[in-house]
Amino acid sequence: MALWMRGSVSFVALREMLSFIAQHPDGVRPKEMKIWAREQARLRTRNGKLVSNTTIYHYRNTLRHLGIVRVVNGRYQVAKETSLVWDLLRSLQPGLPELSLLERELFAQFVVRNQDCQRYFFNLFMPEGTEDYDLEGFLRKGTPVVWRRVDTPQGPAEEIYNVAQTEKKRWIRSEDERQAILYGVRYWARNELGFIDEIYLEGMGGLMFPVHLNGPIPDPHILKALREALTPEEEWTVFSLRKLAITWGPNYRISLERLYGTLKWVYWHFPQHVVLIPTSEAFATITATSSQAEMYHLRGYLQDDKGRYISHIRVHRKLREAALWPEIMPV
Amino acid sequence: MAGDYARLKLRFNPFEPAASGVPIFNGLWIPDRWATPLRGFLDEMQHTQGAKAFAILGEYGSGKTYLLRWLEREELPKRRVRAFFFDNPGVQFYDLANTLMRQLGREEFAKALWEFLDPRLQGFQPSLFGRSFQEWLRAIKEHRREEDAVRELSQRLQEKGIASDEEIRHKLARLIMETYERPYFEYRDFVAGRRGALVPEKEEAPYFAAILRALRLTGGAKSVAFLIDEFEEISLQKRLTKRQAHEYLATMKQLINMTEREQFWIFVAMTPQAAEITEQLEPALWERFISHGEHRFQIPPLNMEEAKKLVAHRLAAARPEGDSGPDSLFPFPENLVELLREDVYSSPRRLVKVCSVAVARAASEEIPVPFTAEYLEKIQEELYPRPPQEAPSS
Repeated sequence: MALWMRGSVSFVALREMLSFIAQHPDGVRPKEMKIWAREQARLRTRNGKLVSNTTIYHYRNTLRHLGIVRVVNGRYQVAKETSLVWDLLRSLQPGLPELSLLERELFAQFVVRNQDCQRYFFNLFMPEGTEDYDLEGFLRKGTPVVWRRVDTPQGPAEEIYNVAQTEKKRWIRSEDERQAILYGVRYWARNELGFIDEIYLEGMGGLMFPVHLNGPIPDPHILKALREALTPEEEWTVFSLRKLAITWGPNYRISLERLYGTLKWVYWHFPQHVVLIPTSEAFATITATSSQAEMYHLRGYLQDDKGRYISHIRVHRKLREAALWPEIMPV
Repeated sequence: MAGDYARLKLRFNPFEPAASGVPIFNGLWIPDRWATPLRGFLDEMQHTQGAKAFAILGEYGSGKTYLLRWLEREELPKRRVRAFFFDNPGVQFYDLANTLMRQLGREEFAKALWEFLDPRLQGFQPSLFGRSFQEWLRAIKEHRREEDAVRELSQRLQEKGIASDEEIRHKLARLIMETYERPYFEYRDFVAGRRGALVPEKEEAPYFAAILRALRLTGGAKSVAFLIDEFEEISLQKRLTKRQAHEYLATMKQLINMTEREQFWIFVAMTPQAAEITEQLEPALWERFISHGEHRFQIPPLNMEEAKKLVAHRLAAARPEGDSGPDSLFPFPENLVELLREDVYSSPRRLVKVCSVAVARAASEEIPVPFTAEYLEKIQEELYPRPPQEAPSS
């Protein structure tokens, strides 16, 4: 049976569609939904294109599979019997260009709790024997997972495995699985809802790990970790940012954006104690074979105000005493 | 010379304005913390049979190029090692051959090899006064003895232990002979498989080894060293094809293999990130390259003492004879380094650039000497402004 998760789904558009359906207690027929989506709401895909009939189908199908709407006599109605749906309805802010944090959290709950999404993707992150988890459980217990493209005797395929439990593995061999898992659920979690992040490592592949949906910049845990990682015997300590990302990212469940934002904050406040070390862009993308792959590889690097990609930073030991650092006091 | 350097007790500005070059005057100075591990490696290499490769890692402006030039000019000649410097050589193996041969010059290389081989053609009377290389080539041409000459040169290449492979000997012999018509190299000479190419196909490593032996023997050197700068800037184009990325790694592998068999050393300067990626792509290759971490040197940022010494050394080289100035840092104040930010004095490029601008401006304007803290602060902020103080919003 074909999988239903698709990467073209924009959760902003899902919110708009849900809001439209919620205005019609008796439900909405697919044809009405199509006219509304294309002619009135002018819904867009994630890439900014006006939605096609197929995309509208995927949108309502996604809402149905996630258990947010149900179909009664050919009409789509909001599935109000679950409290989580009520929470979502109460939080909806239609018309805004982005999802609010609460909307993201609630949509993420639906995605993580969905059995297909768990079976094909999220279970790979979870320790053996973990059952019936929600977003909090995923964020608390999930461990890093790698995906990579491999040439197999049966042809090219993608392998997804848990780094700590390599026997937890899934092979993706069909285009349907690829669209549903790699470009569907993975994109939803990473790009649309922001509760996993990913960094590409040469020789390994894309390392994915659960991250909190929000948090402060600077992050006090990262400030503390940075301070403790400084070698007191050496005047300067050099850090590989990608190594920091693959260690601190999964440990503190922090996104690259917040991690690098925190390091930029330190640089902006103590420029005399922090030196940003740029990389050669050609080398950073040495294994990229397309401009898309190039962008994907570069997302693992911190980009400074001058647009340079930063691979390392060096930090002077004086940073330990440079300030009282009230930002880390709560930790 | 433009500018009044006399009141600064200098003959010229000893700091490069671009601060990415290397001074051409005097001996090159590097801190002991840099020199000691490198000298240790050089001593060890003279008696080793294993891979003779060394990675110098450092951020942009940390002194990688300077360190390679120090090896080339100061340390390697003392050990009778003939050094060749390469800047961003390209991904393919023959890119190195091309760069190397162009550096040497075709006529120079061919002539040196010809002299070393000392070919004798049967029935070809040597001149009473000895022929020059060009005269010999001309005489061969006039007497239509090219084929005999190639055969003889090929024979001599084997006898002298430069190459045993027939094709390689033939290509090298042709390289000498055809110098008469074309005393320069073209890139196509090094594209294997092309008509008239001077390099054999699929024989890159043995051919290159033969060239290395020729360089060593003709120069009376114990070893040949390649100093490769900016290895990470392997391609001018932004994106490498899969094949080019493979070629880059293959080139590196071939070079390392060669250091094991030949009297050949390589020093590669790269950014820490280039080392990191190479290690991730080919862990085994990288481990062999750096001999499990022993043949790797991460250039440490300058400390205050080293920064002060760097400035003093540069100034000393530019002092008028018999006038060393009031103190070794003049026209800079004695506490120069304390006045600069850590991120500035710790980076040789930044330090040299700040000093360069300070001296240049003082040579053309009425700047009080020794320079004041305000003057230096102003230059420092002009060149390396602090980032905006606002933190990103959460």
